[in-house]
Amino acid sequence: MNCLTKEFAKLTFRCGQYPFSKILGGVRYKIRYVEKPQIGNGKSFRRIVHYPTDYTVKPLNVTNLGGRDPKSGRLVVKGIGGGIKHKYHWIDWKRVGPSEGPPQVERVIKIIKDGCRTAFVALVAYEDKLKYILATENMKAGDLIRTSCYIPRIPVRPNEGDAYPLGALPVGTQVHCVEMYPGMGGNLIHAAGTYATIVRKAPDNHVVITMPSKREFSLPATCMCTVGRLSNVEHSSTPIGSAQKNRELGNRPRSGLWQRKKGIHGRKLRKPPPLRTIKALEKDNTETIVLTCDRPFVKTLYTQFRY
Amino acid sequence: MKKSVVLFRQHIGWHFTKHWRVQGKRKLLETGAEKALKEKQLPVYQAEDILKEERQYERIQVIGYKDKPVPLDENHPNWHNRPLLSYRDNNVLLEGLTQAKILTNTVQLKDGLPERISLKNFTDGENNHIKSIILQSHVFDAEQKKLPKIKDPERPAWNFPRSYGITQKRRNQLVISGLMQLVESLSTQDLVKDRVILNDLIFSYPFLKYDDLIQFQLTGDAVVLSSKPLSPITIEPTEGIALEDITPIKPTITLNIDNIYEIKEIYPIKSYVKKSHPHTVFINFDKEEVQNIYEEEITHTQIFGRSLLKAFTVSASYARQMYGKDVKLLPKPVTVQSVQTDGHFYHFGIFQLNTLDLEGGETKNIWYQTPLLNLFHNCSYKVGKPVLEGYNEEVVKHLYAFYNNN
Repeated sequence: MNCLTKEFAKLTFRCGQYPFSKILGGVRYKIRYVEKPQIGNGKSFRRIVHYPTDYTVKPLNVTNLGGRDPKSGRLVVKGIGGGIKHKYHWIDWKRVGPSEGPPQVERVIKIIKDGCRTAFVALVAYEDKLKYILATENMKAGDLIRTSCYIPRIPVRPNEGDAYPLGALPVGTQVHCVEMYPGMGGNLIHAAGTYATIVRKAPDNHVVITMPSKREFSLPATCMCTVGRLSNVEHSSTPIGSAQKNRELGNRPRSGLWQRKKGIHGRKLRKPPPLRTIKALEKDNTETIVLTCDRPFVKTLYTQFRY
Repeated sequence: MKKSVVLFRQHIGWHFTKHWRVQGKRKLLETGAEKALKEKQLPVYQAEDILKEERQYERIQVIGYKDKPVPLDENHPNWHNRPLLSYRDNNVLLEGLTQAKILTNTVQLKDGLPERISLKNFTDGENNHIKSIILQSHVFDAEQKKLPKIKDPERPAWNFPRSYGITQKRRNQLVISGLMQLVESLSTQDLVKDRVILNDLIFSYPFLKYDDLIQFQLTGDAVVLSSKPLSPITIEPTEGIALEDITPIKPTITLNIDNIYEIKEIYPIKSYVKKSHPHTVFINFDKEEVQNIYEEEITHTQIFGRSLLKAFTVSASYARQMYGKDVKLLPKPVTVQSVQTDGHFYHFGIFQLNTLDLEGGETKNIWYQTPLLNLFHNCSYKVGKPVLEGYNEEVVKHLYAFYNNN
């Protein structure tokens, strides 16, 4: 029987260029190598948001991923799945104001609870435009907020929700939504109730802030940030309440095991790492080519019969 | 036989495959060849471009069973480079009544309706008749259609069973036609002869305001027309009254911006028709259709603003038909009444159009309105019995007064 199978495997039907011999081999035990993405590079495996080309305040449709990589379809992150589907409020991360002259004034229309993030979202209107920003602790409908990119010699006296460059603010100000590189859009400190504090000026036109994790970052003084502490302060001290509620939030059941070494049950008390100076990295534009190889490297008996 | 020798044998092919996965990805080294060639002004091509086989594709016209939809881009027949700001039936203004007043150059002289609207008391028999009309349209009608999904914000995971019943559009049509029939039967015959009610009339009024091209294109779900125009409410001067201010917001916020449009000037009844003068416009409010662009709940002031803009569009399109296209200060003011309802709440407003000069003219238009009035508290089946709780007489009194206003 075995010999007969091997003889069959040798047989090939040729139709144009395509040999059909491969089909006769064992498909069941064939392994296809699939490359999975590295986690922790700022890519979310919870949902994809379907962004339109132009900015809009219309809540956007999402596709929930359940921890899967959308390209390969393989599970990448465990513990995500299910939950209530929320529409996504597209936040305008870039607060751009005039670089000289009086600041741009905007009015808060409404504070909205967003299902896709922990902090609340504020709907803001100015001229004939609407946009969402992250709401601060005491922000309410009707508030006027200012935005300016000008760095004066004497620090400004800011109100909550105003956006200024880091260099324009006095030492000790609480800020959030801080840009990492000038013009990038605020990408540090988004979680409910968090804030960073401006600690001191640093040489080379940099400003040092302490992050919520007590780490110190030195950022360029032209990086924009929003003043104040983020809304929904009680979020971190509010228990989820029940396992079912956690499922509604889109998290799958945990094992419940005490995992000492993983770092998820608290960090070791160590000296904080040294000051990290953020500098724009040079972009590596060199192209990476992927070489393919269709045939097996070694001719073994097995491959001889199959190919 | 010992298997371990065989099992521990290393498979060099697998090692190669594993190694290939890592080493098969290579970054192209910058050799400087491209730069050197460019310095000598020799053209540089990508290898793929040379190797790629050039194929000419022929376009074939496929005849389908219907024409393909025209793409919504610059080649569309209705494309204009100047964008149009439009307001339609399912839009609301961000700032509601305040914004609508600025857009239409309107002021409010006082709260509530003018004294001319006098409310009549109904007898018990008439009230019972009204109650039966409400029950008939809200509970007893035989329509059974799928109603919108219900969501409880406290329990977002809970899926309610889909309910079937009377749709809002039908409910509104029934209750308005029922109540208007009752009001007609209570009014004098000479008055009723002068009025006619038409459904689903389209009004459109385009205009320029501060270099923005704006068009209000709205439907009157039921419009009472009369053989004589409504007399002006007041001749009080409005020159000194300032418009409200919503800086830093522009009054054109949340109007739809479109490049594909048609400019239409529509007043649906020709002037040679005997009963062509607008009297009262009924507006249907369905919260499933009328929505904010940011999908949050609609506020009361946005409902008021919707009433004002509809009344303005009706009166302005009528005034253009009456007094010509270039008229600014009207020789005689045009007055239109509006009633907005979702079947449960009712909002009454009266609009007096004095001028069509909306760019900061001294004379202003005038708006009177009531707060939202609920027709009842609850009207549904309770433990198998049809009930109407908390019936409010005021609503039908207003309807009667509006119909009898001359």
